[in-house]
Amino acid sequence: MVVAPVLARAPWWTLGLVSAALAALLLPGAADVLVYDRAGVIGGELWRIFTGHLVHFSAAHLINNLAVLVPAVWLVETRYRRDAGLLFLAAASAIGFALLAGEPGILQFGGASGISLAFLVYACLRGLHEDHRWRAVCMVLLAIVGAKFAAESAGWHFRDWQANEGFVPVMLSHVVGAATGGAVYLWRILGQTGLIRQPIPDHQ
Amino acid sequence: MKWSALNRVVRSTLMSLIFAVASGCAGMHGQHTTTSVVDYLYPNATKEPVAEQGIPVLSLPMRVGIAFVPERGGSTLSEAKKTELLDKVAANFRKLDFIKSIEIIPSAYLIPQGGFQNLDQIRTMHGIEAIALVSYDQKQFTDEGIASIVYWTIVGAYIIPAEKNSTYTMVDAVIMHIPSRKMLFRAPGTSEIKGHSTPVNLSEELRSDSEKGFNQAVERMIPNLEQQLTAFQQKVKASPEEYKVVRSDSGSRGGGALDTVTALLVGLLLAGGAWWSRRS
Repeated sequence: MVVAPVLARAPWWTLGLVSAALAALLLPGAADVLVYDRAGVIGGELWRIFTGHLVHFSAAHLINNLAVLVPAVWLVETRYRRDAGLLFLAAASAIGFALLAGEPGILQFGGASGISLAFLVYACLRGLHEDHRWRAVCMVLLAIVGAKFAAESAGWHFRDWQANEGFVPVMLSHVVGAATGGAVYLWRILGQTGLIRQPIPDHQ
Repeated sequence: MKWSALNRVVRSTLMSLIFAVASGCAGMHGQHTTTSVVDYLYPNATKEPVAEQGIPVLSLPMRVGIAFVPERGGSTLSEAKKTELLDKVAANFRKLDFIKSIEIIPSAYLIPQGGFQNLDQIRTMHGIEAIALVSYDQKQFTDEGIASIVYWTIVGAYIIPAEKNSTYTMVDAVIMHIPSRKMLFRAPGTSEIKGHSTPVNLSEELRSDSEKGFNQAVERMIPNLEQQLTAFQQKVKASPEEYKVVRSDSGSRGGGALDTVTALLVGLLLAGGAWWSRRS
């Protein structure tokens, strides 16, 4: 009877996403079935829109994305538990459809950075309503994300490990991911109908 | 008696004439034009072994060529007509994501019985990896019905369309992967055109039927090609040991990737900030 609360509090989304990303990288053939493949999606393989974010093309690709994904998902899950699933589904589908419409030249896509940014932006925007220390941290993080977007749209990129990976970093996934995080936040605090209007508790 | 003998001679002569005309009118003649992919690719197959096939490495998106197999004698189709037909096929496949470009190769670049040596030259010149070789087989028959008896009136040969024409056409597209010498898939298209003409405009009508036949056969081949292409895609996915797919253009593969500096900075700030704020 001690086990039940522990299980209930366990960060299942964090564990699930990390396990799935590791499995997609390590299990032979898994990436082929899960990766976002434009022709496959158009041909009806719609699961790829959601699972493509869990596929990474190398260990470096996975480690860099997990560095943000793990703390961001864990924060959302421990503080605003009910929004983790909504954020994943909303960000994954928004990024997937944005790629279909806006990046016809991208035949394959993988990587959880867009999802990570959705969780990060959402957690930070929610953090602006919380105590002063956490609010300060969130403001710095949002400033970093804003600066990153500004620098990248001006054509300034860090191309460290990515240079030899054989893929193009897709800015659109970051922008759409961050925008989805913002949209879910707005939906939570500005919902005008009785159905979705609800006060924001500090911790759920 | 004299009169009846003369009458018999006239009657038998007339009968002979009618038989001669009728047998002539009911005659049939035809023409046959054909090209063969096998003859083009393996001209010395009986003497030399067939070129060894390797595992095709498909670099996507792919540059593809399309051409008519060259004729050994005179050509039924003009170069302009060939380009028009090939363009019609190419237009349906240019929009595909894994096709980078489709080059229409003029007949002048293909040597009859040129084999893979000729294909290698074309590959180098046009920068293509695979080629769709379109061959054809067309038979035209002209039958003369009983109505053709009026040709004896001379005027009838100008106004009575008693020549019955039949045109049977088959076009066949074979998609070859040039470096591996392997056929990827093929699709046919057929047509049957019936028509009538007078002897005077027979050759004109046959030419027109021939063109119609090619148009119709190519239009019927396009959906077959699309169907075979879909089946081929499934085959490639199901048999990775038979076909290797390489993304040659890194621009076609995208990644949601954070650079190390941002990832470390944000990750540490998030984790550290959460811990620091909870301490208060």
